[in-house]
Amino acid sequence: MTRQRAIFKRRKAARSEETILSFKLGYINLMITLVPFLLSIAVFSRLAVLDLHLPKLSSQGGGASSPRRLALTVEIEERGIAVSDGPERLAFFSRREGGVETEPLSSLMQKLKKDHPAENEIVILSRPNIPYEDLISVIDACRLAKPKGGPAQILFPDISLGEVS
Amino acid sequence: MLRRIRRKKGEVPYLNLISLMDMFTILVIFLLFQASNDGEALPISKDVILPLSTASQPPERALTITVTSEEISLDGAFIVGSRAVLEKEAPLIEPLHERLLSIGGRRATILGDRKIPFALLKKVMRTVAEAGIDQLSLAVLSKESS
Repeated sequence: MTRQRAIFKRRKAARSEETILSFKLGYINLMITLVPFLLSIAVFSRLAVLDLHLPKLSSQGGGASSPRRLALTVEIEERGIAVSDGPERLAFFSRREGGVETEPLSSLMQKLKKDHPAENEIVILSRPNIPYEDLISVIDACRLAKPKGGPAQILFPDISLGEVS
Repeated sequence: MLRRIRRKKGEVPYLNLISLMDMFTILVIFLLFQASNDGEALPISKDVILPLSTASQPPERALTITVTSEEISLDGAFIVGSRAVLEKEAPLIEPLHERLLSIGGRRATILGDRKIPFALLKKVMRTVAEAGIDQLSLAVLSKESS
């Protein structure tokens, strides 16, 4: 009698272990299908947007009401980048191999922002054959400065785009 | 040697699956969170390589205009070939203008390839502005700089 019971008990234990094992295997199968699926839809590059100010088509020449405002213009040309304030040219950075050099531009922009803290607007003009990538890096340099080890500084976030005429 | 002795006939070698299950669970939860955090995912086709930027503003729901050096498409539907647009003198892209007017909307996002010339971008922007869209943004890849 006791021996029979012992055998029964052992069998029961073995069966429950088997059920647990099959549960685990099912779970693992599920995970093995889920993980690659989620990995495949995961996007590891973060998207962002840059807001632009579209020039109002109707307004021709804004009113010059404010006393002394900066009229910052950045011209992206084949030879380099020219920064001017109205008719006065402030700086010219010649083009480097394989892209535009934005570091001196960024430091100039920081200096200008320090002198005119209220100014937010900038006009970026470009030649027709300038690649989009270069335009974006110039926009970045004018919009935001990220000094090493410091917080990001907003420079001129109101950007208007145009073509060099 | 010892192990071989200990293993009885017919006994299945025991494998501890608990830690594996834990690992998978954490991985799945992490991936699920990441997938749900994406917010408004922009439909990017494979031939568009967006430029890198320091911008970190998340994209909002908007009309998406994809501009590559091959074609211009609106919300994934082909509109016009880019070469034809560049060759024409006209400042507006007529087919795109018509489509934008028929759809309507105030907000648009341009997904531009890195290599497209400014002339093409300018025509697209001009068309978008003419179609009454006043909030235009450029989609970029966020540079993760710490």
